[in-house]
Amino acid sequence: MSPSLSYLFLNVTNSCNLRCSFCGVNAGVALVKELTLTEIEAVLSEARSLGATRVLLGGGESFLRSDFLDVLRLCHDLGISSTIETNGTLITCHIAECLKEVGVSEIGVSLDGAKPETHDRLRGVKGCFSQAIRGLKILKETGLSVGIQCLLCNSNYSEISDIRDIAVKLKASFRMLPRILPIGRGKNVPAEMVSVQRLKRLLDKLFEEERTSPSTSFDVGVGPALMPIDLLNKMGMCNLAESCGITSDGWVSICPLITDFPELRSGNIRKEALARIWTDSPLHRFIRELPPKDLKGVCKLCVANETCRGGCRIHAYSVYGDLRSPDPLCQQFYEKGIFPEYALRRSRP
Amino acid sequence: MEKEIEVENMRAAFSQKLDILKKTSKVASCIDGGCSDGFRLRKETMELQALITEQLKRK
Repeated sequence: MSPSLSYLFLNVTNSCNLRCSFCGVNAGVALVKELTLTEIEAVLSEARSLGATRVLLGGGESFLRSDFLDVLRLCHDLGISSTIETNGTLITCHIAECLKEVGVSEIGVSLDGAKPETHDRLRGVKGCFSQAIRGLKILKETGLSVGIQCLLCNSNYSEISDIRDIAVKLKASFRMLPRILPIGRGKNVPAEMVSVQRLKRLLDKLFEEERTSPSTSFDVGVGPALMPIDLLNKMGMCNLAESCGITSDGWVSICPLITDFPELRSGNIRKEALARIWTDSPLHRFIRELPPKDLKGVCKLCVANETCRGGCRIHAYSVYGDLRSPDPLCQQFYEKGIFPEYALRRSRP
Repeated sequence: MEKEIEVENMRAAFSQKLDILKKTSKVASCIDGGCSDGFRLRKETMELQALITEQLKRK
């Protein structure tokens, strides 16, 4: 019997109409041989038979695929709940109606600045802020569930609260990713990386704002140990033991963010069945079977390691080169002496 | 000593919340500056927690 696969991250294209300075997959131009609709249908169908009930569709910019709505229909027909990540610039009333028709679960729109100039500069195209806002409004007016997501960097540090306010006003979920991953173009912008002390100050401010004026949904992308206890129920986590990622050219891994790490490819769906890759590949077996106590650094000492299992493994791998490495943020908090004492085990190895 | 007791109490509260989180949340996602499905799942988690709290109150 195959181990349960509940979630699929599927990048449908690497093509993108923006040029975000921190893009982890170097999106811009479509990959040489991206998956066809028939191939996507086959892999979705196989994922469904392995138990998958949810898929996150991303890219690149998914709406640049001319058959993207067909992909969504396939998900719908197979009984797979779909969620989309988009830069929001290509949303039209017609597209929004189609999304509603195929029952898309939620559309996450990226907003990396509260000011047009900040968002446009970070995303490399003038005017993309107003297009994203227009897209968000259309989605809301159509009655769809919408999220706003932002990636924290030094350029937008002072605007994060305002981005959260936009989410609150639009009744959209809010999510912040606190770190630019040092992969893809993210490697080229070290000056944008926010220091741990500044991040801590921002987190404390956001936590306070969330207590006084709660958003529809709030997540700041840190592990449970870095969340205040009273807001712990608002966080989300990747469950890599039950999910896998597929790149737009068919490579399978724990997540599609593996552009820089061909060694993390577990197989290609053009050569092998997904079931076989998912069940037998050493990579997925390693992730599934990795005991939390074998995590390194602060994660080994943390009370929460069975819950978060070390957080984003691609982040850990990109920083330390080992899938057992600690969550880089938790480790940096620990090294700076600001990791909460109560999250550390009483008896430490 | 007082500090130790405070840390111990917080550790207990933290562990209790983690247990609920483990029981009620499944998968969220995180990719290229964004997470989408996690939003909905967190909503589900909160609904479940509200339900559990309600049931405990009734007991």
